[in-house]
Amino acid sequence: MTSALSAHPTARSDVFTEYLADGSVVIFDPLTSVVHELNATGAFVWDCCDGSYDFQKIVAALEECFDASSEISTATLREDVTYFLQVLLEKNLLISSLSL
Amino acid sequence: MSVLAGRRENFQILHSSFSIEGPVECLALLEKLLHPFWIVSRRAESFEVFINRERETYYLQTPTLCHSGSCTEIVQFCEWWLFAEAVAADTDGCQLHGGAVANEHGAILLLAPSGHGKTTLTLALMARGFTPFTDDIILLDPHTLTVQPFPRCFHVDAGTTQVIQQLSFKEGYHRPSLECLEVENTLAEALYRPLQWGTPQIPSLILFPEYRPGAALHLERLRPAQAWMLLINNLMVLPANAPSRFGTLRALVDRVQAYQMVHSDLDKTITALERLLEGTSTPKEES
Repeated sequence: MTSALSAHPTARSDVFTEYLADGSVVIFDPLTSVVHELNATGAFVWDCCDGSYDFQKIVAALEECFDASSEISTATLREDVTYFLQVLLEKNLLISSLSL
Repeated sequence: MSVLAGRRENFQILHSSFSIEGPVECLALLEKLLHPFWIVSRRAESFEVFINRERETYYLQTPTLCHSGSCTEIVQFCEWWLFAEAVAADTDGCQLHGGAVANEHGAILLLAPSGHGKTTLTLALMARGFTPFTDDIILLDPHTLTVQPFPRCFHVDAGTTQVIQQLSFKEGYHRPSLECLEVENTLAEALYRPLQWGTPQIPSLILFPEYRPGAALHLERLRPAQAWMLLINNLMVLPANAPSRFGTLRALVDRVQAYQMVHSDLDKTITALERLLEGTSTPKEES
């Protein structure tokens, strides 16, 4: 996990992203022809995977999105982002060298 | 191999033009099947297709393949090949595998893999007064999102013919207005062409039907992302060209309601679709 915290997750440039009017996002992997549906939080993290954010910055940016009254703790956010990045890695949607 | 090139016909399908030369018996049947696509003169950029005959065997020669068979087999294969080639060559359009019909309340797109009852449902809706756009290849204008009529003949198997004949005797139904194209009945499937076609319009409903014998009617509203994923699977393009259509499909699912439907009883299905269409006759504006 150490490398993941310092690495800058980067989405593969050939993956297509479509933003739907209801706030959901679908991404299409042309290598596998598989479509993935992301909810608003997943879409936010996916947008952060442009190589300019590291893990800490992604969690911080996500924290800013939740209002002050939110009951979601930083620890929960870290767990969720870690899990989500791991899924993206397993599905080969990131080119970053991070290994979780 | 002897070339009995008795006739040459030219056809325009989407943006592709085809020049076909071959024996009269093949070309006469092809001309009947492809009549709405017939053009007077050959275009300079035409694909050239030849049908040659040696005794009872016919050979279809296209720029990409050679295929042999009886006259009717070659005609059916040639008809399929022309449409497949035209769709593949149309890099600007957005074609989906499915049927489409409309009544006064709006148009429905019916998207499903082969064998899921698209043609049966399309013909059944026609028997109820709906006007068809297509039963196989949906043409969607990527700029206006309107579904366009595509007058390819319907390929109807014996089972579907029987179902529609039975349905047409029920109250509220009539025989669909179709022209039978192959009176000698030498082809494996009956070929019909509707006498009327729908006028271009933005669909009011996207439907993913699945015929399941004995199943109760079940309609489930899809989220736009789910509908988008299913539409991607029904795109008729080479994988490399698919992404250029993604935006069109996104605009479509943002605007039009989509449902997955399991059904068996055609009468109940059609009644449900009519009610659904009445409730969605005005697509919500794109935000």
